[in-house]
Amino acid sequence: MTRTIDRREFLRNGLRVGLTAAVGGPLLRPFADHPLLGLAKEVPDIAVVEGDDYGRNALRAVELLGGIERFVPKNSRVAILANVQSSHPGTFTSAIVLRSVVRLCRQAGAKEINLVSWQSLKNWESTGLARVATEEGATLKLIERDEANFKPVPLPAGKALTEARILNVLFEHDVFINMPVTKDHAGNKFTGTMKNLMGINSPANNRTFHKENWQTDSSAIDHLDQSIADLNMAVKPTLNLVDATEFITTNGPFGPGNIIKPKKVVAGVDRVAIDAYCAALWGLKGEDIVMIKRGQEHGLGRYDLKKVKIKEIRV
Amino acid sequence: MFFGQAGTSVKEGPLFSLLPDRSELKGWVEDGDHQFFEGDDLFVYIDGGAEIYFEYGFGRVIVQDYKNAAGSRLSLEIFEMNSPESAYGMFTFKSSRRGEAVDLGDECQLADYYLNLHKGRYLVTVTGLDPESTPSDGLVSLAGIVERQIGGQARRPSLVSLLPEEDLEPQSLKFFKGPLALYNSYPFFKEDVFAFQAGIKADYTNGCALFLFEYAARQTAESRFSEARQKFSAEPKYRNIQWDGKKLRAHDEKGLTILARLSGRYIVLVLGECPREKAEALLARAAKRLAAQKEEP
Repeated sequence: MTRTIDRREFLRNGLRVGLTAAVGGPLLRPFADHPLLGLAKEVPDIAVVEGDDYGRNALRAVELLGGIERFVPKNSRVAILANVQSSHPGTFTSAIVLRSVVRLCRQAGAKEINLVSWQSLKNWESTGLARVATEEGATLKLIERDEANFKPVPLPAGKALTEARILNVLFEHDVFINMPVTKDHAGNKFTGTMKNLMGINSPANNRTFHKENWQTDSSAIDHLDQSIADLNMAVKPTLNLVDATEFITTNGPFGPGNIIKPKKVVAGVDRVAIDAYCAALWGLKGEDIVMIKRGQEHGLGRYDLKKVKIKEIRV
Repeated sequence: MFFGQAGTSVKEGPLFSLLPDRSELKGWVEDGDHQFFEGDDLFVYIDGGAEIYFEYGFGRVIVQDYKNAAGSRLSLEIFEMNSPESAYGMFTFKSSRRGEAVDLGDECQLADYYLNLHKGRYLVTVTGLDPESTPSDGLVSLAGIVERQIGGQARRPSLVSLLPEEDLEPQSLKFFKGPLALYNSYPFFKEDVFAFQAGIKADYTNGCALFLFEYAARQTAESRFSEARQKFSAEPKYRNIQWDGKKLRAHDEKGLTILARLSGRYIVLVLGECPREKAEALLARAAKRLAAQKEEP
């Protein structure tokens, strides 16, 4: 079932919305590796801020990484990928955390801040994230699930996935901020930065991550996790900022399930390290999550947290 | 042909008819339109998490949100599963050990901010979308209205009755129809080594968990158990593997005790932090209970 969102509907809801219908955009404009990144030697690989004010946690986490200017150049166009998979508590990116990040981008002088998604407007509204867009002057770019709206990206080093199909609109941006909520997943046990990138890949392509005969094929979970690691070679987020404030540890990714409240925001560039850190928040080991191991094998980062510089503070 | 509301199709009808009538919704009103998903369309609704429903046997689902004057919101999901066993299995998968039993349907459980209920082949989930302000009586009364619309009653799968009752934690049961649900309870192996027809896990107050895996015939159980023994020996996370010709003993990487044996067309396995003698006693009790059952044809 696919729901088509039209402009009149957006306007009716009082949102600033852009409907991207298709085509264009330069192929694989590099998001990360802003020149200033290499200059900051003392910043941690992962910044973790814990506290009751989740918005402040997000601000401080970015500050610990050297400030938003490291990631968002003036006059840049910023794409943000939040998780709005479900409106059940503990399954979507916190509106408070998202609001802080949008404000930071604006403070850095971003020319455009777009929340990109192929999820439905209903998801954005019921999670309260559409309201953040309206109130903070960001644009909600909801893309139809039409395959024409996704650009093929070959993955020659992919082991399970040889081609990703990434949202065209993403390539019209200079900066890509990946903002998942970490949580349980009934298949591979864990959701974090790497799995969230399925939100910019086409739903049809995502379906190939799940084998047709997954019920009888013993390698189905391995295939899913390998596909996610492969997908992560297509795009490197400029910044990952994970909502680990309140999330489900059972019945993921959709919920409802048991919620724990570490009250943390976790930020950094190394997706593998961040995912390993977040997995440990509810007793999982990075090396036990196939996706995290495969991510390291692809050179996307390191899951051995002893080798990662982590700065943790409580505010 | 439409059922009560414009835009409701024939195939939605039976589930649509289970949604509460507006006159019954005391203090609650619909928040937006209902949604309906059938078969593979579940991937659209539960993107990335639909597999577990398919493993248990999914038919269709209708979803309707509600709100009250205080601004609280509830989401009602009515899943029509393929059989009462499918609904029971999904119910146990979604239920929380910390939940509180409620006298509704075949079984109902209220957790912090959500409620799950199964009756016949239906699974009903009511979720408070604003946990801090979710009135639990709102969850229960909405579920109660739906429950009254569902006819019939179902018995639990026969595996449940094979569990030793002494020290059993009744809220802990997890019924399996496939490897994904088992993997979520305890990841014995990444591959589907046990390949059971049905399975169940129950926690006991002494810290042990009991797993029963059921097969169509004794021969199948024997062959699966033989393969499992080899896999336990080959998997690095298992240590201190011992086999005395009848029972397998091992520890996992966290030091949890594992004991396993065959009993007719069942594999019986005990896992836990419980002392070895308690684990042995539970294994023996379970095997004795199974032995008292009629053998397969």
